[in-house]
Amino acid sequence: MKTRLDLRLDTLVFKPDPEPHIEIKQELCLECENKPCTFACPAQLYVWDGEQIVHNCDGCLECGTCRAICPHEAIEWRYPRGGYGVRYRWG
Amino acid sequence: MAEHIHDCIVVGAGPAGSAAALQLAREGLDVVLLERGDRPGEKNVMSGVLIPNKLRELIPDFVDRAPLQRRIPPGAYQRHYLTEDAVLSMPILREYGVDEGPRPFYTVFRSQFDAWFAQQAVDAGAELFTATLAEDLLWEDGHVVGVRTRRGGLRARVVIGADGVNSTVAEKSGLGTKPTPTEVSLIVREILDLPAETIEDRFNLRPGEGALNLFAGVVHGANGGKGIYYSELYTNRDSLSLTAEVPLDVSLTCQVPNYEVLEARERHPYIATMIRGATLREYQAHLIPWSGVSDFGQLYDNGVLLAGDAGRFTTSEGVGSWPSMASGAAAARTVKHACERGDFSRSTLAAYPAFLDEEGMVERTRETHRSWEYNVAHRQFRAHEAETLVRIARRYSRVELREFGVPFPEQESYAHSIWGQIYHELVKPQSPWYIRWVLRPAVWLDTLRWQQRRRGRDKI
Repeated sequence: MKTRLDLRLDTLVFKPDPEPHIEIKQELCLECENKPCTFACPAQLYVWDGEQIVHNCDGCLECGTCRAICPHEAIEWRYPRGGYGVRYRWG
Repeated sequence: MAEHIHDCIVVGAGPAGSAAALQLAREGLDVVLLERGDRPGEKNVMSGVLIPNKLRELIPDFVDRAPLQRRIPPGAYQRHYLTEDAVLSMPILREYGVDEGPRPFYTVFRSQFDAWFAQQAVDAGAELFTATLAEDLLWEDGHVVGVRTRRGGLRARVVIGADGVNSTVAEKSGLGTKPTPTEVSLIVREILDLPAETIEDRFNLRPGEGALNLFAGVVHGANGGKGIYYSELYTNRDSLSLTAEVPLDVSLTCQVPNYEVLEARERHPYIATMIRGATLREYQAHLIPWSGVSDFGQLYDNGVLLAGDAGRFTTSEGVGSWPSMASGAAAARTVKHACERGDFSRSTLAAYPAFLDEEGMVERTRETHRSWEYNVAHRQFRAHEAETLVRIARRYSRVELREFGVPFPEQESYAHSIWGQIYHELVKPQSPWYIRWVLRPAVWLDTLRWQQRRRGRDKI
C-alpha cells in the first residue's frame, strides 16, 4: 500500500542518474545514535534495517539535508550529473 | 589554437547567477552561464515571494514581461501564531486607495521565472550551457582559472559561484564548508491546485491579487523536544503553495520527519479551511541558508567570487531572491572592475564588499547574521513563543468579554496583571539586562497594586 509520502513523491518527475550520487560509509552509521538521516530526509530515502542504512539515490530531491545533518560525515553527497535527477515543474 | 579563455564563468542560473550574467553581458563581457538542470529553475524551489527590489532596477518593465503569478499588495501579508487548537492573527491594515503601492510582492514559480530571467541574460549576450554541472575548479598558481565539467574544462579569468546553498564552488575553492544544521532550514513545500475564482473568493482578493500568510508554530517531538518552525501559505494563479520550514537543529532535537510537519499544518483547523478542496500538484524540498556570513573575506579569493545562497545572502527573514540578485549584480560590478585593472587576484576582488555595500547588502548581511545568532541563542524561548502569545491573547480577550458581562472567574488566579505577564513571559526571557533593570521597578509596583486589588476583591 502506498503511504501518504509515496503519493507526494509520485507527483514528481525524475530522470534517474545511473551513476549513484550518494555514498554512505556504513561503518560510521553503526556508531551513530539517533541516525538523523532517517527522519530528516524529506523523501525518506534512508531506512535503518537493524544492521545498516538502506538508501536509494533515485528519489533524491537534491536538497542536501542528509549531508548537512549527518553528525559523522558518513554521507558522501554530490549533485547528480548535469541534466539528471529531480525536475521540479512548479518549483 | 590556445584554449579559449572567457572573461567570466557564472556557475548556476538562479536569480544571483542570471543577474550577474545579465549585468556582465550588458557591459559587453564574454560571459558563460552554467546550469545543471535541463532548464534554469527546474532544480529550484521558491520558498516565499519575489520581492522585486533589485529586479526593478535590472529590468524596469518586468511586470509586463516576467511570468508572474499574483501580485501581493501591501496589506495582504498576514502573520499568525499557531498552537494545536488556536490561531493568533496579527492585525493588518489594508488601504485600498494605495494598494497599487510602491512595493508589491509577487508570487512566481521558479521553473518559469528563472528560465525567463536566464533568457534575459542570453538575450543580452551571455552564453548559457544547460545540463552542465560544474564538478570541480581548475587551478593555476593558486588562482581559480575555470571549472571542470563532464564535457571538459572551461577556462575563464574569473568564476562567480552562484550555485546555491550546497555550493560546489564555495567548497572546492575553500571559501566555504558544507552547511551545518544550525545554519540552514529545510523547506518542504506542496503546490495545491485550486481554481482561481475560489482563491479570490476565499482570500478576499481582486483578480490578479494574491495573499501571503506566514505562520509561526511549534513542532512537538515524540521525544518531548519542542521547537519553532514557520509555515507559509500563499497564492499562485490557480494553486496554493504551502510550506513548512524546519531549522535543521530543531529537526535534530525534535526528530520529527519534516514532511509530517507539513502534514500537521494541513490538518490545523485554520489552514485546513484555507486549503479545503485543493488537490496535490507537486511536492518539493530545498534548503535555505539563514546565517549570513560573519566575514566578507569569505566571499572572494584569487579568481573566484560567491553570490546568492552560495554566499549565504538572505535577509533576516530568510528572503533570498532579491539579496541574491543584488549580490549577483555586485559580483558582476566587481568583475567589471577587475577586468578594467586586468587583475583577478584576491586583492583586486577585495572591492566586492564595497560594491555589496552600494547594493545595501553589507548592512543587510550583518543584520541577518546578528538575527541568526540571536535566534540560535534564544531557541528555547522561540520554541514557546507561539504558545506564550496565544496564552496572553486568550487572557486579554477574556478581559474584553468581561466588559460584556461574561464572567471570568480565573482572573483571580493570575499572579500578575496582564502587563506583568507580558513582562515575565515575553520581555524578560529575551531582553538584555539594561531593559530588564529599567522595567523591573515598574513591574514590581504593578504587581503590588495587582495583589492589593485582589485582596480588596476578596473582602467583597
